[in-house]
Amino acid sequence: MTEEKKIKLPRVAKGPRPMMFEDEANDILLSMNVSLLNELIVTRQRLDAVERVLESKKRYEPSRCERVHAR
Amino acid sequence: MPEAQHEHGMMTNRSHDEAERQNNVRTLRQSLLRKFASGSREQFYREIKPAYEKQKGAPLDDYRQIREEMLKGTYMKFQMGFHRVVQELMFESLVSPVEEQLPDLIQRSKDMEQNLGTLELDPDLELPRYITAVDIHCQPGGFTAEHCEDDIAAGAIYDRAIHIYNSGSSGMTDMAGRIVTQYLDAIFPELQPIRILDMGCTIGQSTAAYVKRWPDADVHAIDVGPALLRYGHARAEALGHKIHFSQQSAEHTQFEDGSFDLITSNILAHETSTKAWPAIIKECHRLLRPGGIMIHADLPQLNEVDPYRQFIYTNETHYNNEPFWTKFRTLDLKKVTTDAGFLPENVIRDFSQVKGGKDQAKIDAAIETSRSAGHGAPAGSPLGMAFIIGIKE
Ligand SMILES: C[S@@+](CC[C@H](N)C(=O)[O-])C[C@H]1O[C@@H](n2cnc3c(N)ncnc32)[C@H](O)[C@@H]1O
Repeated sequence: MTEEKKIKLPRVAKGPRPMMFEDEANDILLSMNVSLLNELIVTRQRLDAVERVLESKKRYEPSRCERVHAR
Repeated sequence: MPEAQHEHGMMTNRSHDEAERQNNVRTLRQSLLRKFASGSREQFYREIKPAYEKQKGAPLDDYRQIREEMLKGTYMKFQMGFHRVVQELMFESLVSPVEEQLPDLIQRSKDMEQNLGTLELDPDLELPRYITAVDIHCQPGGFTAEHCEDDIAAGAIYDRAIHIYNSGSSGMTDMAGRIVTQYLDAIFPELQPIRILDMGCTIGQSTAAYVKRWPDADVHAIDVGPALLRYGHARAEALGHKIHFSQQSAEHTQFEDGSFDLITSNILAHETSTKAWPAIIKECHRLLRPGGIMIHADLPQLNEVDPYRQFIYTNETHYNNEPFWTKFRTLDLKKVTTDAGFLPENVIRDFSQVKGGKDQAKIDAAIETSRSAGHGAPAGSPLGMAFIIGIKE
């Protein structure tokens, strides 16, 4: 069997991207802001998971973080 | 804490962070959009409308004019910009895990086969332009893209997307289908369909509600997207739902005349075109046996909601890649239905008024969120679902 090439999925939707503000830069900044907000929450949730694992265990095992928050 | 989505054997796995990323998008979508929506509605009724009417001495009741007035301020621009970004973030958070696991997911979809239902694909099917012109709902790749052999990516992405997108707080993904069955139970208590066809089934998540409601029926589901159907088939097998999926256009199917007792569709209508929809209704007329019923659920038409809601609805065209939305919403659905051969006395236009079912609390929660997001229909239609029903003579 040949080594399979990794399939890339598109990240951007086909179709015109509407801009709401007169200056597109504002739309881009809004995008960046909301993305950052989302990543900040992810990081805080991760931190919360780490703290919970640390509290319950003497030795830290990163894999336990995976099970902390209900999904 | 939002209710977790119903997991099943075909679901894409998620690491802690991937799951959090998706959950956050859901929370952002719900809470912030809700705030924005009520904020802008208040701004409209308290400031913009009175100021305009005082200045012009004429009512502000045309949705295009409302749009113009609303977009003069910053608030609405932020709301719409935000809507769009959240939609994009949603797909970003969904695509990565699916891409990472794609070969495994494809393998799983094959292992899932237990010959309960069936899957028939037609590689020669001509895809309707209204589906391929843009990626509807901003899902990258849209409904029809295939990225490799036996691809299921579009379905895997969609399965998690509906949970984020679903304004309701519930983990049920067949809720839209349940609204239809509850409605049918209320107005056609005698209905016992033997053969059912669900058009524009995507991954069959609403179709599942029909299987559960009529377990002995022969349930068929069609869509045009091959990756959606492959995933939908594997998903149904994983969930133990017997559904026969096939890749066919609702405008023209391979089924014989009079094949079905019940034909359904859920939010298919507005994604077709003003040309395709009449063809679909004609096809329904052909496919129903005498006495058979078709029911199509979608949001209300423009003339059925107030001007402010008209503005909110037509906004979808702008921020959510729904090119045919506005034009479709001006179609006279009753006329289309009688033109297709249904007798006028056999055509019903109605709004969902589901009360007292066992999922009432969940449905109410969904209705509340959907309402505050500006999706509400006229009074008396909880989820804002509108039905066009035809009974074959
Ligand atoms: C918004 S989705 C429907 C969702 C689904 N019925 C539910 O209950 O959530 C619209 C679906 O209709 C499909 N579709 C559009 N035009 C079609 C046609 N002519 N024939 C069959 N399916 C079609 C699209 O591929 C897409 O999967």
